[in-house]
Amino acid sequence: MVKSKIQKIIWPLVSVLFVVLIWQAHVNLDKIRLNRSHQEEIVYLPDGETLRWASLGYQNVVADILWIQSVLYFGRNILDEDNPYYEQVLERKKRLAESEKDKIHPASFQHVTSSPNSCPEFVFDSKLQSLLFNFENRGLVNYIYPLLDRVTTIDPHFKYPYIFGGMYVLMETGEIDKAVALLEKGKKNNPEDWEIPYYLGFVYLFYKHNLKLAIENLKTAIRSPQCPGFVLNLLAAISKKIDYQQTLISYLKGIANSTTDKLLKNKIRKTLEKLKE
Amino acid sequence: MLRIENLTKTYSSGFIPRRTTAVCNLNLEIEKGEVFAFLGANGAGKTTTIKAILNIISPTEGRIWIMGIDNRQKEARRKVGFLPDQPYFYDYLTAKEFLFFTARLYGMPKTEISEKIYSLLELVGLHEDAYLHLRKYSRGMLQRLAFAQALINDPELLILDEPMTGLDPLGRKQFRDIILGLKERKKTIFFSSHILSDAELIADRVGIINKGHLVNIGKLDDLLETQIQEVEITFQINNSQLPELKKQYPNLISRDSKVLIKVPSEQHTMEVIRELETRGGHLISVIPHKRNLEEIFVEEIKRS
Amino acid sequence: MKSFVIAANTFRETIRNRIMYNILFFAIFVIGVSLLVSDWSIHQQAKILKDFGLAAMSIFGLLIAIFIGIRLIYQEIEKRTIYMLVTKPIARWEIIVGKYLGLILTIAVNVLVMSLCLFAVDYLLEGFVNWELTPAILLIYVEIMVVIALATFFSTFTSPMISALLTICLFVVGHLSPILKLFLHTHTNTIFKLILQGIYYAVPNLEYFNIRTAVVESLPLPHHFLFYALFYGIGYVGILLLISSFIFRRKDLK
Repeated sequence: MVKSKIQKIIWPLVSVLFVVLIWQAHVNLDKIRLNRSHQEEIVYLPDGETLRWASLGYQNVVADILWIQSVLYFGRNILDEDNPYYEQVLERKKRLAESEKDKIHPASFQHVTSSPNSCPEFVFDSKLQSLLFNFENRGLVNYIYPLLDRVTTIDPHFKYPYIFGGMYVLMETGEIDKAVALLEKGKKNNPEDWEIPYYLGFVYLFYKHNLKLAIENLKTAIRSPQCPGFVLNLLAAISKKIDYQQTLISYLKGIANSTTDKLLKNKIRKTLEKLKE
Repeated sequence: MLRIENLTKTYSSGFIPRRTTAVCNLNLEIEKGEVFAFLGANGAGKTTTIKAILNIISPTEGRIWIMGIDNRQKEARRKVGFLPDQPYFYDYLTAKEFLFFTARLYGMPKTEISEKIYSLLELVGLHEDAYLHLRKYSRGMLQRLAFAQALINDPELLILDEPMTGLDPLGRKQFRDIILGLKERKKTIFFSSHILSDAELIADRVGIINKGHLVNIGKLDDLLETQIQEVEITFQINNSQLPELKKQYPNLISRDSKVLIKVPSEQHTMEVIRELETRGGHLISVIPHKRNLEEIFVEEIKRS
Repeated sequence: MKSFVIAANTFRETIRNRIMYNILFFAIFVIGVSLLVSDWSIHQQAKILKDFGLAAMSIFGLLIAIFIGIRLIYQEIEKRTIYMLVTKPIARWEIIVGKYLGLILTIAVNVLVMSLCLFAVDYLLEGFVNWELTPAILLIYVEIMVVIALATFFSTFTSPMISALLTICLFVVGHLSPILKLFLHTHTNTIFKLILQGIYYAVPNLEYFNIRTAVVESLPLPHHFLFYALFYGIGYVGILLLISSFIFRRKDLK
């Protein structure tokens, strides 16, 4: 009789013990994970081609999953008051600044002097520069481009990662060459598309200061059957070198209206507002 | 009706193939309208033969014809009903669904089927449980259903594998009655069994198989008659004669003043009677002892 | 034809199988996914919904196909219920074809319900029904048909475990077919090349049934692609059922 009474107490007790064990372990493991850098997980990802074949016919889904990961990774690591990890990101930023004190940032606008393609003076306006070149998040999202590269290799027709990496990430980090490479890849994989050459035109004009390539890309954009009318006007304006301030505003407005992505839309709208000041 | 010619079935199994012969050079012919009992010990080759007839397995050698058609053709089985030794049925179906399915496999038109199912279920006493799923059926019920499905296409040839196993005495009686009823309708019945008493009651012809060989075959009566008959002679005789009688007939049994002597044949009967009368005995009875099937069977087995 | 009798019975058997509740999980999954990315742009939400929806349809369909397909013939033989089929005036090939037809009919119902579910959630999201997905769904179904034929083929002579393994292996190889082709060009060893060539031509190229990217991104499909893919699938199903019937015809049932 006594034995069964003890048993009635022991079984629930043991169960509770195990539950507490799991719970404590979970909480502590979470803390450890948070402190660790998330980058490590991404380093071990195989390259795009391998992932493509490993998808066994489910490339779209694998690309989507990686894409979601990219966005989350980006969101987690940028300096933005809305970011719940803001404090941690700020910490990282400080540590990074310490280690890179003596390095020269190649893409800062000080290096932009006259370009061989006779770019208009307007492009070098300091206010404009400060709007377009926001290097706040530089070094915080080093794996974003490798991730986006993989996404676009697995699903080359998935348009938005190209634009995200080519425009949005560019504006937050200033990695011009990587952005251009990604957009060029997108153009190659989607020759019928108008949006990517449109963005390329923007980047070539206002970041790379290469008028020739900007015009070439806009012409490519126009050739596409789905291209909206305002692009033609934009091309004309650039070619005739009329009112570049307006050109920029038109360009940006074009992006704001044509893109369906909320993130980019908001970003461009904010930029436009700052321009008007 | 059914003709088996030189049926041989060998199995080779194991990594280094070892050949086992299940049936060897079996020749058999069943006439229309007869009830044939196929008898043998377990593992003698009865089930193998039946499986070969029904194209469940293919013979290593030999051919089989059902109603003149080669048994490998599907037409051969159109008028054949089969009762397996175990009820291997889909347990997710109800009895009605199962019989319907079976009937459709025989190519029966849908219009005929419902009536047929109803009458068959009544015949085997399952009409009340027609809508139960088979997984809920008892062993006896499944056995009866098995019989119903064997009759659904109004077969000319019925092949039954150990049909009486597991039936209670009442069931066996009902079964025998149905078989005899079918016999009256000129149906051919081929069944295997090791319950010899039942075979004795219903079979016209009997075949005995042992270790794959058909060792004996013939009409039941002939089989039983051609065997040596024992005769039991009972005499009343004075006990003083006993020692001498014992020398002459060593298998003598005596009790009180009665003596029982078994003689191997009718011929000897007269001799013994004369002998005993000479010694002053009185004849009480002479009983010829016909061997029953079981004894024949055991003898055949021992012989081979 | 007798096969239809068996098909109807197999349909009855498989549709009652509890694994059919997968449709429920599919519905929950699809709705869940769409809710997960509800903060994003409608265009992206739609893309992710369609991608995940079609992939889930394919995976669930294939899993059921394999799970039930490998037991299709094997179970009949093990449980001896096959006696009730083989002893009837019906050819062995009719049994194989009948069981196959029954199962693909069940899967068809499954895929249909999942499609309706996907269309419904997509409609709620985008405001219109995306009928363009239909060719992709059709080819998902054809791929499943081929995989079931593979599973049925293995089921005629080997145990479920090995059948499942072999079927999955062939599924993987089938999707890696384009890489095989690449290897063919790079390897010089003739014997190895011959083997690879053999595998490349023998194993069905399952990538031909994958037009999900094209459909979701609204890219144009080459002319007659759908028909050729259909013929390809039906061709393989035919060959596999033929070989299965041949094996089954000669088989001694215990």
